[in-house]
Amino acid sequence: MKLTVVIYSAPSSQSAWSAYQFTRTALEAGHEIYRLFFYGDGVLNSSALSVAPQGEFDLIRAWQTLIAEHELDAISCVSSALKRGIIDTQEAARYERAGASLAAGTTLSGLGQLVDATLASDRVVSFGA
Amino acid sequence: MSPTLSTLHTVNKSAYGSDALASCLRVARSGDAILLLEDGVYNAVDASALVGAGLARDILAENQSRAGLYALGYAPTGGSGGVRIYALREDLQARGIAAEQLPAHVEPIAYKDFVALVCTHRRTVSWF
Amino acid sequence: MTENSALPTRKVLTFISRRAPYGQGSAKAMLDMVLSAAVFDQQVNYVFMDDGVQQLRRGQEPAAIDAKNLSAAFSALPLYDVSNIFVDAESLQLRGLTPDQLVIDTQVCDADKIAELIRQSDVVFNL
Repeated sequence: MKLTVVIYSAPSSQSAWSAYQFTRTALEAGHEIYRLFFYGDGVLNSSALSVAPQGEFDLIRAWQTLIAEHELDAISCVSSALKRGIIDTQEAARYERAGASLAAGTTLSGLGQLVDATLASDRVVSFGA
Repeated sequence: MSPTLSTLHTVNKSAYGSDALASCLRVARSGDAILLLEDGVYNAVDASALVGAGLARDILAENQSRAGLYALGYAPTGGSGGVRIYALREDLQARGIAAEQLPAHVEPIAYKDFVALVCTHRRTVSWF
Repeated sequence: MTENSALPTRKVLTFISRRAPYGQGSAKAMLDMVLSAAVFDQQVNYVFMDDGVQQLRRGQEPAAIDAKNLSAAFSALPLYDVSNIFVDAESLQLRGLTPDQLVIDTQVCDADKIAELIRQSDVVFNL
């Protein structure tokens, strides 16, 4: 099946890990992930700048690896992201910020991409806290 | 209600700190399934688990949400009756809830079963 | 939906808004999702339940806390063709609210109606 996973929660919440685990397991089971959509605090999962404490599971890095390995379409909602300091080079230039912070493999885009995903997917599963 | 039209509800909060479970129980209908995950797994071993042993009737009378969870799970789950209740194994394990502590109406499942439940139900509603 | 059928262009999307405004961003996040779905011509049900009913309370002056008025946006919903707006009667009652204290006209409904809306939906967002 084609699945879209919506992540509302920050990586500090277990539900972000649950979303990751769900996505990984769905891929292992042979399903297609049509899109990952990070919304609200969920966009913090797409930070390129976070550093996990030593000895702790690095969820943000794990997302990046999963997205790269499976070439997943991962989108962080642009308005949620800008508000939370998750910006790409283009936005950094536009708003004259010191640098970009969006993880490679994730794209900033609008809520239209979520609507598109609901149309194109067989199932949409949300994870929030 | 045929399984293809039914709903999977997920609940990831304890009923003490959130209305997620109570609200889910208000709109879950026969044929639906409820998956308890994260802190939601505590709901599986709350007073509802003790009802079978006749130990917690008074508590439950004052707490509709947990009584509801028990009542839903207690209904026959074959065919059209009742709501199936599942709890994620990893979350139970993490929180120190052993399989033997689960009441009979709560079935522990793995992540691959969670994925399968999403696919066999028409839609998933996440309560948090 | 089969593999070879064309993608649908319209689905039934139900949005259940269960958080009060201002304290955190969920109510606004949900409103933005509803408006996007409406702009892309989806069939939208907008349901207010639990503390979500507080979003509709009259007399909000969020400028007092440097916040934008969420309730003002609800008056614009008809412009987006969002007319299926439901409020859970029990949630209202528990909070001492009556329909005439709300900023917009809504359909006051019971849990059975919300269960029916869910059952008729392709996708449900619950925030």
